[in-house]
Amino acid sequence: MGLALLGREHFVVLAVMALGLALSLLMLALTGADLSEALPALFNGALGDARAIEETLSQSIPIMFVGLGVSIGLRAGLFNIGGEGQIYVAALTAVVVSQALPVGNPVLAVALVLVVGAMAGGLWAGAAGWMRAYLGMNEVITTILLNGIGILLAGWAVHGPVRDTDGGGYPWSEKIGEPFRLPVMDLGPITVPAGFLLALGAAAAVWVLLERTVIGVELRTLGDSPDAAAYAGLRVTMLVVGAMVCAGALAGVGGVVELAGKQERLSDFFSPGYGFTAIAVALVGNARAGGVALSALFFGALTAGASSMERIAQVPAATSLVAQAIIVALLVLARSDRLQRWVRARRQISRMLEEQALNDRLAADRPAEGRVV
Amino acid sequence: MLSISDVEKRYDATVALSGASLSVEPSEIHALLGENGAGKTTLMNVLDGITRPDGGVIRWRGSEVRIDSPRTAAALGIGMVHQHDRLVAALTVGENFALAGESSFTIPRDEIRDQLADLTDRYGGAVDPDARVSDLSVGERQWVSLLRALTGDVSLLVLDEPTTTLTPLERDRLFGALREYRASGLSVIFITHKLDEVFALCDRVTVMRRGRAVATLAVADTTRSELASLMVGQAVDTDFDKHAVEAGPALLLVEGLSVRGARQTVTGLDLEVRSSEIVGIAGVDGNGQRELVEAITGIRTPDAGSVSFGDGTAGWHAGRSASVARIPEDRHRHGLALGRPLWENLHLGRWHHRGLGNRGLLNRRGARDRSGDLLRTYDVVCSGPDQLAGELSGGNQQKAVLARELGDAPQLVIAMNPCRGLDIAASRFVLDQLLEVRSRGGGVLFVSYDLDEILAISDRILVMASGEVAGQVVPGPQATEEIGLLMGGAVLGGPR
Repeated sequence: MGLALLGREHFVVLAVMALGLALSLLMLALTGADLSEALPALFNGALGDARAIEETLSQSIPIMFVGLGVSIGLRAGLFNIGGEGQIYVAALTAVVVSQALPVGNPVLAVALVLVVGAMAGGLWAGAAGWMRAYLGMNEVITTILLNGIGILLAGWAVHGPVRDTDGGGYPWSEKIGEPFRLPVMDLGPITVPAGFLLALGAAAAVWVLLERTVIGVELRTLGDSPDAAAYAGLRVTMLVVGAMVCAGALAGVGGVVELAGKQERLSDFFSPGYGFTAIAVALVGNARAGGVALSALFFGALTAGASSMERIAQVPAATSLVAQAIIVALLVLARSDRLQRWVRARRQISRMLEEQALNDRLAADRPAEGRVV
Repeated sequence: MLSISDVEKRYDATVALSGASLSVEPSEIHALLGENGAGKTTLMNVLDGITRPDGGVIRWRGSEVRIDSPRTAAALGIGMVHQHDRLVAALTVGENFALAGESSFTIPRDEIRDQLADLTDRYGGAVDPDARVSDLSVGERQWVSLLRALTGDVSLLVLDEPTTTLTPLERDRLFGALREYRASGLSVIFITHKLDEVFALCDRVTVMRRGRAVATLAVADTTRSELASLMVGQAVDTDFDKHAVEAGPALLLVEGLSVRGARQTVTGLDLEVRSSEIVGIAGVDGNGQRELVEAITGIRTPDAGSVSFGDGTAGWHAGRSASVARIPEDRHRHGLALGRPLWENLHLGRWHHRGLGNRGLLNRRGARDRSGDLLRTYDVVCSGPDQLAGELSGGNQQKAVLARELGDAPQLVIAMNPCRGLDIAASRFVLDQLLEVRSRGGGVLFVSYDLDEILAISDRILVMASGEVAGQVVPGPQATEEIGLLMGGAVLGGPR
């Protein structure tokens, strides 16, 4: 990828990520960790071999799905904090449906749980969208509240009705049936979870929706200026509900893919905060489909690398969370109006200086030209 | 006693003031006249210490002063009444006075009561210190602001466009009071963009244009046309190409409209706009015009009534369809998505109507080509379709809105204050476009707070007062007077 493809926005994000990583490593060094051991462990854990790459891809799947959903919301001016609840509700629905309908055909079975998961997640987020559109309730509040309900609902289910009685004492569901599981595909040198390909497909679909459809333009308009959108005759309530349903459906599919492709059981520790990491993913990806896919890969690699760092160098894996937090904080700072105005002023000054230098040079050149003539 | 010389102020790229000068004598009413955006308010904010100037000198009673806050200005004896009053609506009148006064831990209620009584004795009017500001009428609020500005030892009173929201009666009362203050030795700076007020009230006038004071004249020695041309920098041109056209079938029919609004409730309003006519809606801001337009354009849900359109559609949602052109009052809030590029803004809500959204997919090339055409036709100064709408100047933003709304040669146009904040040339362009709609057989509902605009292009004028149509006036020699009477609530043709 040539540097010409990198706009200012991309540059800011890359600089922020590099600075965030550097600060996290500095913090590690200050706490006495041996960087000569930790750094290779971090890198090898994320990209060292085919297994590490598979782990990175696998870690990036749920946050890519949920991050894409968060991005649709962000572009439409909606802040969906409810990914976590949407994941749990969708996974729970998938568990229940897979137990109730023992489909034998693997393609049909997987399609079934994906669709019911999307519907469950879409319904969960759509409820927040409906409350926003028709009751004027802030979706930040309602999605957080719905998180609580969704997570506790799944927790209750795995302690009660769907608990595996032979589960070794853990409060979790039975493994979902064989046909419902997503395979890992062998692509020559590396193995790739099928869910990752689905996530890339979702990214492509979101890109088309946001950048190439009329609805995409309308969502962008809504996100920039709800009043202008309403005045221009756009059906704002439909757009708000629709955006939230899409966001929830993506989060739901993310939850089902995590269930069907990796964990196979639902538990009350099913998601280590994917719904919240996804917000960071969407922010770093600037709410663009391609950016979100890349930033999900970055955060996936960070998580994979950090857990290997913990195993090998005894550095707590939570370091990756710290890095994540620093990056988000720096990014918010970099995108703040005040800082941007300051940067703009600096650029104006340097442009003025350049112009002056150019003028000086021209002035110096002119007599020389005169002599030639 | 006050002299301001060569004050400069710039915000980023825009120059608000460049060489603004003004001098005020004792016991005079000095008009500061200029169009919207000429810098009048900025200059007064400098005088009040709200805005820091980049350069220039202020002299007060002969010595140079630095005014860095409204308190400093008040201490000098300068009282300021801002265009939009700075009263706290949730507090009582007395509490608002306490806010302006010396800071203390408790509210000295008795002192404030005495102070208010003293002020009303000296300056007139009756004010209840315990009344909540939110319960007061616009005129009463203004009176409270005036009294608050007169608190203490004031020798110069500054009023920023004080008559905008007043009825003619309230205006006369204000003028009477200001003349009395002048007789008692007070000086007044009276900011306005209305020529009438200069001649009715003021002794001298300083005209501002584009941040600069272009002339100071004695009112007795000047004429309306001289002041008008100083204001706009060119001879005022009011001869619009408005040839007689026979009005045709109804394009908009509103019957029995009742709608509740934040400021005014519209009750039982009937209205018709026919082909080849411009129906003007005149009235003081806040008499139901906004509610009327929001109901017709489907933004606000009415309580009762019906609306139907000439193309056969009916119902309040039909006003939001792509076949009705809507030029909103607030182009920043309602007209454009400022953070989005022009090519998106120019087709907003019209993608399918213009065949740019086949089966939901964007025809990006078509949209951009069409945008380029529209930008050229409507003479929008910009770097191209990719420029953000928010980066254009006000006049060009309005042209972009016109390009979108009028680009499909609509039959019906609903325009609200389309010239607000525009200079003469841009206003002229907008009004010409509306006349163009009329001459090709379209109908225009033209709502404006500017009577001159309405008189210039309307075929008939409905005057709104208190949420109802107070009467209809046809432009002519008597029109201004009749409209004035109707605005104040009088009913033409004797009592009903």
